[in-house]
Amino acid sequence: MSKKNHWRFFILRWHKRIGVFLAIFAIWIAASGFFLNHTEDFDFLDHSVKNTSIRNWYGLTQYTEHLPLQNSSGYWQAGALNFSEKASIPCTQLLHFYSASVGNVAICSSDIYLLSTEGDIIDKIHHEKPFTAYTEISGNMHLKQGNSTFLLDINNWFLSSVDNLTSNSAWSAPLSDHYTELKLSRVLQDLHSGRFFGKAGVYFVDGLAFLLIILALSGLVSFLKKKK
Amino acid sequence: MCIFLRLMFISLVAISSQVSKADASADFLQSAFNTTPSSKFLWFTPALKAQSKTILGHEYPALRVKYWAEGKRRVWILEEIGKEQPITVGIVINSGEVEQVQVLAYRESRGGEVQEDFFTRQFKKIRLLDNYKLSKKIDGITGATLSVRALQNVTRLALLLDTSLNT
Repeated sequence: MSKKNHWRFFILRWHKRIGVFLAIFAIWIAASGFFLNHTEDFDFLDHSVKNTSIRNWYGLTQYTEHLPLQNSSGYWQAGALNFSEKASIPCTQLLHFYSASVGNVAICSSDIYLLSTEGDIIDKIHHEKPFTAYTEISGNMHLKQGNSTFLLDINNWFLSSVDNLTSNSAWSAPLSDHYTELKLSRVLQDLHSGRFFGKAGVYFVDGLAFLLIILALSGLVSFLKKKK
Repeated sequence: MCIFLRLMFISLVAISSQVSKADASADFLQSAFNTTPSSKFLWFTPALKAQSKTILGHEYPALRVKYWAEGKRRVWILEEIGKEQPITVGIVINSGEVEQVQVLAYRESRGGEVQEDFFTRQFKKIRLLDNYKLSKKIDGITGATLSVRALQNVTRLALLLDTSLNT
């Protein structure tokens, strides 16, 4: 076998191997890409994923239509607090909801609402930067925003900055995080990009893309060599 | 260039005022009183609710408002939507007459001129008439019509609430 043919067969051999390996993934990526390109045309992609295993994989609790609010007839759903026959109260993310002597307190990312049991807004505190976590220390509600901590004074309905928080209390993540809707299109997108399997999945898809380039080049090289 | 720098300045003022709304309220109270008194709440009665609806064109989005008082001098911090975003306004009222109006947080992208002293000082010594109108005409600002209206309405509301405490 001439040296020229040796290289040609070497390239062809690896071209075949890479092609066989890529086949199954290429079909999957092409098919998922096709559906992602037409998310508006396929209604089923807008549906919520109710499968417990998939939701758990995303760190979400079991699927519920809405998050019920304790000691009240209301519920949180899709970025709003809802009470029967009342206009929805905007609440992109619900950190915490609890009953106090003065009323029910709903801590949303940018607003803190004092609500009656029927869902009327008694008072509201707006905060420009969103809160990300909360913790209760000796009956006092503390809220976290970046590196800053705030103390919520329920009786005077006042939010004050706390400089040194001595307690090592664990911060709780927003309540609504566990109940966030997970759409099928999101799962499909994560599978398409490899993000579904975390960082490793992303690198794996990067590898597939690299192999696809190799496949194209090896195909081109072997075609040109055969022509000569 | 000058216009550009002015716009940059107004934008920066708007951004910094957003960040420090809580501080602005505390500073406003500090400037109004030597020692800030503890806050009190005024609950909207059905009559007060109806009157405030006449003034604002909609119900005030809360069942109560907070105020600070020292004798007949009271401070109200209220919010009203300009075009899309709420404007937080601090109003000092002494014996039914406006002493000071100050914008504590302005979140709209346009119309920030209402924060300037040349505009807010027009409210000094203004009273509320029986037909819920202000006793003096407030000159508007071109391009800030909705913000001007919001400030006028919120001042009328503060005067109404203040009057309700006197009756």
